[in-house]
Amino acid sequence: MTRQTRLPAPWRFYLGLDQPEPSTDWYAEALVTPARPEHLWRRFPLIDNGDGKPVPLPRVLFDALDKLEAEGAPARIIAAHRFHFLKAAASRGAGFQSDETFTAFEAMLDLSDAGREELSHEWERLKPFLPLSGHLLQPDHTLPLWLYRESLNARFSERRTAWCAELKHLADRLLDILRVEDGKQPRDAETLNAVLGKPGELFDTEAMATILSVPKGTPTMSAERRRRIADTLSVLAEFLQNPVKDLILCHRESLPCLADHPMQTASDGFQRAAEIFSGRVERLNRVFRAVRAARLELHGDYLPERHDLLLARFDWRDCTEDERFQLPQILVVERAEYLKGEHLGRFAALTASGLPLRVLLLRDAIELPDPNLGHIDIASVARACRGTFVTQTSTARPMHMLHGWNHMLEAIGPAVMVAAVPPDNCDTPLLLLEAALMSRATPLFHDDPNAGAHQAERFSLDGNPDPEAALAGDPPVTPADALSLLPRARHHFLPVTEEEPATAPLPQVLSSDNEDALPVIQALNEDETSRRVYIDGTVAGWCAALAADWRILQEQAGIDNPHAQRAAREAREEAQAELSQKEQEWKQRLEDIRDEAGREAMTRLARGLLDLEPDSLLPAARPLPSPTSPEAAEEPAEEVEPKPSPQAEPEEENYSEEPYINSAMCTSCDECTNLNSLMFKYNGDGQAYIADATRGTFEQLVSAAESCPAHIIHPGEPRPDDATATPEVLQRAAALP
Amino acid sequence: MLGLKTDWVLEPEPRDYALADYEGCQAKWCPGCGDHSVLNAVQRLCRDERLPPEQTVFVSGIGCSSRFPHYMKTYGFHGLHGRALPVASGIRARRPDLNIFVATGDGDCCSIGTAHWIHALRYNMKMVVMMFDNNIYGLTKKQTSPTTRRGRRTNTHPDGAFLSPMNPITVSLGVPNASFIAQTVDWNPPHLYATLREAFHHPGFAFVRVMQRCPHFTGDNFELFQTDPSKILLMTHPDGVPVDDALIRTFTTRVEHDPADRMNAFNHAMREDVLPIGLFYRDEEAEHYDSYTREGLDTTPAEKVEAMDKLLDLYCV
Repeated sequence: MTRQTRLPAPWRFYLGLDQPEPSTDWYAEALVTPARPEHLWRRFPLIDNGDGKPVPLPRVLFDALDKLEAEGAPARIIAAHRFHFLKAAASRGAGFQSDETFTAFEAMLDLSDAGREELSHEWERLKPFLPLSGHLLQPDHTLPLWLYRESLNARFSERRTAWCAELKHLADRLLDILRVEDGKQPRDAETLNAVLGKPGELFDTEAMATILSVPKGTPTMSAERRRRIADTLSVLAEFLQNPVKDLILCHRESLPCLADHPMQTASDGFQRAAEIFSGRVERLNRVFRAVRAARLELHGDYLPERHDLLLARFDWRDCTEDERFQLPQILVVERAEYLKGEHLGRFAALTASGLPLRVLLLRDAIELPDPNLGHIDIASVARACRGTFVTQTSTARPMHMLHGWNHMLEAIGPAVMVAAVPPDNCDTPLLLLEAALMSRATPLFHDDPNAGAHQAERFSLDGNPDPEAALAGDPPVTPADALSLLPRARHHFLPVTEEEPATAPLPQVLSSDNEDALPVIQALNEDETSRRVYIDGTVAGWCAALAADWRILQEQAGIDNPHAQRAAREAREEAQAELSQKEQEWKQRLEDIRDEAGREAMTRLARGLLDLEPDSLLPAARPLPSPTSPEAAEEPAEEVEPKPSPQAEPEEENYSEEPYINSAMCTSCDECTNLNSLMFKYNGDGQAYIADATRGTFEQLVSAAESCPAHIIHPGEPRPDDATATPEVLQRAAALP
Repeated sequence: MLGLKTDWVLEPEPRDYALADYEGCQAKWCPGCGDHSVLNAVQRLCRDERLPPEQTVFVSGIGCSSRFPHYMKTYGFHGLHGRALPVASGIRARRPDLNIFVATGDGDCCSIGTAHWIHALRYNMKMVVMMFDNNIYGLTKKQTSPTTRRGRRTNTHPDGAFLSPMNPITVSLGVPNASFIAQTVDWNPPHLYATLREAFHHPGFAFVRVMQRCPHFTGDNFELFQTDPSKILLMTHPDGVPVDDALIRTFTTRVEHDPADRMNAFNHAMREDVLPIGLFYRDEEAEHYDSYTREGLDTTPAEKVEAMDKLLDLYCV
């Protein structure tokens, strides 16, 4: 078996081409699906208009083309060649903002004069829908810092400006107090001269000064308070002139820079960050104290015996929500592979410090573990300190990264971002980043200690493709597939020959379905014939370690949690047992009822045939008497007959004979109670009912029914002995509604 | 203690009440008057909601219905003509712990008190406003009110009122920040009670127009709706006035109306072929002016004096 030391590069992905350009003789077959151009090229480059929300350039163009089409004036030429148009826009790094893009695009097309003229018209129509300014962002190592600045500006600039305006307002009002106080000072001759001009003949300013010495009854400020206000003013003024600034600390100058953001190079960034923060925040502490002192002074509430001690103890940890946004944001940027030895210790010390410091660790999206150090997950090291906000993200998912920055910048304690970036000199950055995501080599997560006390609340795997599966994609993408994209890692792969022993696809081996077989990945030749490739032990071990890491992350995020599964299984078994028991009970009960019903049917049949008294035959089968018709129980034999029950009719007749009131609809208007308060009364709800129909006459019932505004009194039939039930009254009763 | 039963002064448990606990003077309305029905419904509501009489206040203006506070054994304020709502708003502003009910009539509310009515709707301070609408000035013996139907002969218009009547529901629906607008009838106590109960639980200004019979002066005014239930349009909805199925079946003309739909509420309120009852509009998210007026309620007089002194000291030179 000869080891192949160098394999050709995989096919290249170029933005703006309809079809990929294969420049190799084989590539990993599993990457065919995720590498499908329409999945990837729509995401980059991003265009940032400075509003903190970068959007993909292709989407901007397609939205604009859609709008034009909706308006009935489609740009047919540009739409047909939109990929070339995007390529022209992206390759110059200028987006759509200059006509240079259009010129380059036009040069790509072989158009006639009429076509060029039409294209020019389309360009004029399209321009209003395109952002004419903006910065293009690629998924490289500059993206995290760019998004950091965007997030910082979006979340901090406005609040900081507002706070400075408040400080200025406080300072102005303190100055007003001092000016008023100055006006209370004795007016000497010089002062009066300054006001009235030179000593003249008409005014003797010296004599006037003695008269206008001090206004009587005016309280003056104590010297101590005046000194306090002056000190407060100086602190505020100094801060307003020279506010506390943010800083980025980089280990090497080769790391990405932001032109308009203060940056320093430091070989011991983790240690320096804490020192710099302490120095800057001490100055800010004085400002926070001065703000409080100023507010108290303005209201005349400052009590030295109480507030001196309180303010002396005040520091940034006690500040308000608004003031928290004034704290300096110190960001340390470092390569993850640099975290070895003492630097790892300093990094751990920073995460345990509790200070609101930010760390950005850039790591290659795909990297084999260091043979000397083994497999160290740097994000797990940061998560070891429970109070630290940790996010692992990838430049392939800028929105996830931006979301991470937003949370980090508002974190009260330390915050660490581990960002996967494409390796240097990578020809296929997007493909590699996507493969790293799908193969779980760089899973995305947020671990926010402020989101809750439980792991389920603070940890989230949102943003990962297919987070419930071990590997994403169909067929699944493995870390080995992703690694095969790196030219420098090609010596870990070897084509399979016909005589080789049993093999199995790597996903099967990783899921422990076929542990004895040799793991292979599938590759395609240039002519698209399939070919299997071995992976060596280093890569196989690395893949297994990543799979184990992913399982732990899934468990922490509440996906595929063995504890929960066991509890669910036990609950299911318990419910099943209870259900079985209930079924048994009901089955038994059904049997009992059947037996009883059979006996009762036989009893009734016998009773019908022999005409026997039921009591003598089976006392248990005797039906219960009805509460409304007690006499019904005395003639149970008749119930066997299919004819209607004889007691129903008289009951209905009795009901209609009795007078009644539909009390629920009574309006409590006193009409009926005024007529006869013995017959009509109010119930507990204040609504009328007939308390005793014998306490009045039928004629009163009819009169009450006639006068009732709600028409709810029903007089029924007159009693036989009621002399008022004359034909006339009966006629009136019949006319009632 | 003034206004308290002696056995209420110390009571560790919530009290239960009977109807008699809320019955004040003997009602002096005409026999058959619809006001009796509202009085009974309100007393039952107070009892069922266990409203302590000493923490409940009824405010009224002038008119037949405005005699309401006299007939409740709670606190009450029989105010000036049209001025019930300013008084009630004042009470709500500084005594938000009280349960406030307002009894007003079509003349009191829609004529002399219109300006107060409009702005009280806009202020949206929590209270239940019962507008007794009998389409006539009853206390002053049959004069045309703003809601009197066109053509009805009255003492002020012997040949018949010649203006179209005002529709208080559409007016209320047009006021910004109005939050609860309902209509019911006095001759259907279950619906009346359910509407008032819904109004009581509304967190803001609940305006309930009660179509009320005046048997003496406008006896035939609502006769058509009483004798022919199909002329009443019952508005039903899960978010509306909760009415049980038995009662719903008595209304043959029904419509599903979402109280969040203000425009549809207008459409229903404008109908003249039927009398719509139910909840026209509800918005529990509307702003409450009383959330501002209750600030500083726990300030003691000494603290007020101190604060005033401190404020004046700022201007001392």
